[in-house]
Amino acid sequence: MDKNICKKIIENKKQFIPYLFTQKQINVIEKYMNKEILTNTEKVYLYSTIKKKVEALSLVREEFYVNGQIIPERIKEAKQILREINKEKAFISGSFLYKKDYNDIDIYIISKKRKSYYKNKLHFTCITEKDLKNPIFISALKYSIANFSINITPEIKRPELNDLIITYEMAINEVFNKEDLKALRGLIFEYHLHLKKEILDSLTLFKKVEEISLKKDKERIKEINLFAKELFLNLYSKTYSYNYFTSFLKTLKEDLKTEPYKNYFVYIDLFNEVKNECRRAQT
Amino acid sequence: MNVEELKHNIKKIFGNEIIFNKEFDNYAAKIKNIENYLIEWCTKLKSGQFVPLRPPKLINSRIFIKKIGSANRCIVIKMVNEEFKEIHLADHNYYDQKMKELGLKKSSKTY
Repeated sequence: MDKNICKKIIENKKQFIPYLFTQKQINVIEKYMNKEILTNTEKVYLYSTIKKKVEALSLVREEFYVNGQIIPERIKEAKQILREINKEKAFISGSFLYKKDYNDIDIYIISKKRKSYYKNKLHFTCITEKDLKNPIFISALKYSIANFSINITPEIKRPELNDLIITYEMAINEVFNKEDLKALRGLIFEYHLHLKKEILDSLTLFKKVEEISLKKDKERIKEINLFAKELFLNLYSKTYSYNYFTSFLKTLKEDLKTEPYKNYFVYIDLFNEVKNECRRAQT
Repeated sequence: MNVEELKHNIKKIFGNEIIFNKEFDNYAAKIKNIENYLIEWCTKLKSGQFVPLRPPKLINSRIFIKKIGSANRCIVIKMVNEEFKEIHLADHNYYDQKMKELGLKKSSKTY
């Protein structure tokens, strides 16, 4: 139930009694808001009559925040979707807001549990209040139609080196396998987050990836290598990186001997470069 | 093409030893024109046109991923210097779970 609406009802209860709520109903709302234990009768009362009235009132509230330059028709559509789903805290982001042709509509709902599911073209992602501090969700929120304002302090965590290596390898594979550059998106995001100290909004991020996707494969690989190299060299200590890449390269060269896939050569070149720069920096 | 036909054609490409995940039939029936996506991709995969990922938690295997629309994924697992072993077809949640098992995705859920 929308707690902001409940709070307002309690604060202005004189105006609501007896026209919209009875005194008894207000008492139950107060108990619910104070997290007091409700009797079974009160619970039935709360979830049958009161909840429906509060939901109806939240429809009247109509507070929307338009974050970023969005296709005007899509603003209307997005607001209508938010009205229909009628959640206390929700926002719509992604390609639906900036592309004429889009695959799905990304709807984020702040809830108690994490969940992700599709309903036709609607892609629902339920995240917790804590998840909202994750820069990836702030990026989505920075370019969105939301029913709440952006006032969130991000929780920025440095990625583990092995996770960053996987993202890099995936980005290289996407080029060789002619796939969408999804991992590259992650790499660019991390680069700006940690090295430029900025959270890119989803449209800016899309444009940066698109710019690279228009280049030839060789150029794409060069760009991916540049982003990855900067991250590898600047996020971790030189000694740690040197030791990690020394042992990582040993395994990788063994893998190359057994099955020489062409992506391994690209990995080896970059990891050697990083390792050597780390060694030089140490001496 | 029905699901059994599709599986038969995949076996023709990868061999009879290939194992399908439990959800394969369900998703193969649900995804429109799945044969158009899968057969061509599997044929190219078999002929060595794609490069793999090396899963940290399954060091003797190689992983190939195919995006099918925005919601579904196909993962093929091949043993090093051996044949293709498993084919998994399912939605994004299954894919995330499988990638975590293989050590290719962080354990905390990041969408």
